[in-house]
Amino acid sequence: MKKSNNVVLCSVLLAAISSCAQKEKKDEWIVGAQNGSTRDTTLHGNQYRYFGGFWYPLILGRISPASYQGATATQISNPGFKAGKIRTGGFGRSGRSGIS
Amino acid sequence: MQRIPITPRPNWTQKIADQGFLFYDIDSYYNESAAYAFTAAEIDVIEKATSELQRMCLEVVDHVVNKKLYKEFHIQPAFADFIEWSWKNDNPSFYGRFDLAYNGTDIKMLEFNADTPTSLLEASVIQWYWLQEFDPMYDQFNSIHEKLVAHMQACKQWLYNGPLYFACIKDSVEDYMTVKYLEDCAFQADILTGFTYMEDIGVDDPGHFHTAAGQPLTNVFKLYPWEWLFNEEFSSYLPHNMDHTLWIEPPYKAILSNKMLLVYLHELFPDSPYILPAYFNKDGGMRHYVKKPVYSREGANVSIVWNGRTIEEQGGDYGSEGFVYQEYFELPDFKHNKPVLGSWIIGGMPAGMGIRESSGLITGNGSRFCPHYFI
Repeated sequence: MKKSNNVVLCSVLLAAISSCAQKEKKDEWIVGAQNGSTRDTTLHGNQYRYFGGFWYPLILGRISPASYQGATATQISNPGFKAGKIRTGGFGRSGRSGIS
Repeated sequence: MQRIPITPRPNWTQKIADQGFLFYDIDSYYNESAAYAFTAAEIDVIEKATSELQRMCLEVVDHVVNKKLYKEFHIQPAFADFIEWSWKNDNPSFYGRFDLAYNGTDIKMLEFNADTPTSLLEASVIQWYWLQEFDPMYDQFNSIHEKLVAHMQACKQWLYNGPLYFACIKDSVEDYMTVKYLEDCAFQADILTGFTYMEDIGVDDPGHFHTAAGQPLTNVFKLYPWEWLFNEEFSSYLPHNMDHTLWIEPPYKAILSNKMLLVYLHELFPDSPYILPAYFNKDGGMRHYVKKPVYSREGANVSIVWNGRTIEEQGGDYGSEGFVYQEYFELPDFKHNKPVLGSWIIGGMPAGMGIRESSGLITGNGSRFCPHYFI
């Protein structure tokens, strides 16, 4: 026998089938609540919100893990700290469907 | 090898859609009206050829790395160390697909889709389920699914800390379902997985890769060719991140997915029964040949010359790096259906086969997938 004994498809593919043509949720500007509540701090005149183990700049009540790099408590306590930015769009412009 | 007309299963479109084959009706890619039948001896011959081709291709990579032939492969010097590092560290590779011509006697390698092969789901899953209903007593050269899961389990120890992200471009159902199928296999291999679009990959201030949700990208399977990555805005971050991000397929696949591979296979293995003569930017005295751009996909910018006359060609926007001239090998013709065998390599081992047939001489976007079996 050269064929697979069994081919089982699991939740990843089944979820993809049901959600196909819908774009994956992209977290841009989010509230960043965890367990229904938020945890904020203000240091050196800048507001931060704790989310996913890191502190993010809080702007108009929201944070953007897609745009800013999360920082540790030690980092944000530094008076000269400036939140790191994440740039996107540097890959994908050559993209065409039906690769090979 | 025979082409057998078959009756499509009742409700077959719903069945294959339920299995993730959502792109079957693009240009009538799959219509379940024919299958290919083989003997066990023929399958053994195909399997042996695939194994031997894999060995020879890896020898070419070693030759290119040792001789530093990156210029000949039109790879920028900035990525040489990156490629060599991945080769010398034997970075994980999941899969590849040889496109083979087989006339019942001879097998010839047409090309190696080593970096971003598609038509995976239909070869691994769709034709397997088809056979269960067609005749489960028949065999099929297809243990792709089992081998993918087993190989991913074996690769798990070589991944960096963190999830394995699967990435493709936006707005391509075929690419999306291909990576989601692979992600499903990884999930079955007990690997923590995630998904990102290529366009959403980000770079932070220190130059490390992140997802759009801000998570570090430490392991990425990308259905996106290396020659494209090497020419985009974030390309300079690739070698910079060798210790932070592990890419699958590995960077050395830039050598294997390049049509210059055909030239060097012929140079290193001129007597191999599986290798067609091939030359760069010259016909080498051949009267019948196929002219292929160094970088090309889905048959784009490929032309076929017979006795000095172009008998078929496809348009496209490839070819600026030059052309590889490969001796023409006639495909078998079943009432104007010409099959090319896609022979899969999983973890370095032959794993199965998918067949695409075309009405014309060039297998491209308009080809059709057909299931197969053997007795």
